[in-house]
Amino acid sequence: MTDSNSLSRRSLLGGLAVTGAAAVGCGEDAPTGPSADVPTLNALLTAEYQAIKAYEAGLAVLRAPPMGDPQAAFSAPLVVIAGNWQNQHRDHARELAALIVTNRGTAVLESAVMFTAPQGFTPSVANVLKLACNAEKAAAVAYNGAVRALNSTNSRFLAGTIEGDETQHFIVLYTILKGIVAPDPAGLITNIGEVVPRSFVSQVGAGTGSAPGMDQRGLQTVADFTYT
Amino acid sequence: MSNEDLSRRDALGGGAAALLAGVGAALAVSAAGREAEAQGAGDAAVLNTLLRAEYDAIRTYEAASGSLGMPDMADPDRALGPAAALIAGHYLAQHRDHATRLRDMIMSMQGTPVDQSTILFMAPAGFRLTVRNILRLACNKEKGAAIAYMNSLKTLSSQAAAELAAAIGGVETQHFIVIYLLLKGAAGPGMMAASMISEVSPRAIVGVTGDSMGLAGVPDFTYMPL
Repeated sequence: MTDSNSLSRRSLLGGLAVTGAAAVGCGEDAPTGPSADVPTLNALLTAEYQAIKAYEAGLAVLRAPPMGDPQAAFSAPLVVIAGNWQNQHRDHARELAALIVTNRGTAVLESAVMFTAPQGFTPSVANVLKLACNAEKAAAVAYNGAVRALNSTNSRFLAGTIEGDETQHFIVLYTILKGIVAPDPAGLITNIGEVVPRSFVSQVGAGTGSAPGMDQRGLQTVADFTYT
Repeated sequence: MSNEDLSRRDALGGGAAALLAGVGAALAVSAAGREAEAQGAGDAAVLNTLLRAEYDAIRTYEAASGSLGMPDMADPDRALGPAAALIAGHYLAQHRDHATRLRDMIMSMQGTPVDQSTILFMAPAGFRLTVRNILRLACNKEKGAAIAYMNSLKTLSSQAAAELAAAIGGVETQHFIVIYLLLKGAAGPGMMAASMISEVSPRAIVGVTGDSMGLAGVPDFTYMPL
């Protein structure tokens, strides 16, 4: 081919081939900055640290209810349950912080997060339960919104499997506060660790560990009931 | 080469570049379209698995309703039957809501929802229709469903589908833990159970964008002084 049109067509084809080769041969540069999920994950982590501190404040009331508190008799098992749930929030925070680091982000520090009691809150057993219920509900809603906002399936899965723990915390408190469910004192003491038995709906990571604050297990490890 | 030749070459070069850009853009759009279609088909398949589980839950609660409402006279948990029947009826309604939402989303992805008539209730081997066994079966299934919904988040590509899966999964967990604690003996029906049964799981979803029927619409408890 010698005429200018032929040369132009060959240039085009050659250019296209070069461009194609370049597109196939060169991968995208590895990302270096934090992923787009980091701000949302850090918002969830902040909420978990607030929950941990809220439970700490609530535990102080439950351990020493005010004089004349009509619910004071129930405070002993509530201390155990609140402590267990606080540890579950520690498990949530741990996994969120790890995922933030995996996403090349900097996890918010627990020391930077404060808890302030809401307006109108006065210390009593009932008010501690109400505060926890309201907060767990808000957390569940926030996690659900985060699932939609997050880009990676890993992030969405972690948000979802934690969300389903917050919903369990919520409904246990809600049904008790509404009088729909009543704790059985003897049964509760025997099964106190079963009041929301796992930190996650579906296991995270290797699903190992059972020590408080180090648990990765999901509901998979809760044995099915058998039929009689 | 003449000026005219150069002008024709410039024109051809400019026109060819535009053609190249146009072809490239068209290829990119076509590839993106095929990818979106594949993702939609993949999501529809995952959602259909969850829809089958919802239909199974519906069939289970339907099969249980008669036995819970009128337990056998010899059933040692006969007294629990009426409260259990109310809870089961409420959960059944919520599972129907879940199925509707999943069907709608599958169809929005140009998928074909699984047909409810193809899902039948199959009692486990050795199963007797007692109050306690029914609650055990429901509890096991709600737990399985909750895990399945959250695991689906590992593969769902659409944000809307992921949000819906989490919104429903967060209700299955509520169903699970209430029945679980009843069966463990940690709790029993309270004074308000009969009159406020819809509050045993106050919403069918945790939250979906643009939908007012999630938990955000449940009023906060207010704090009272001693």
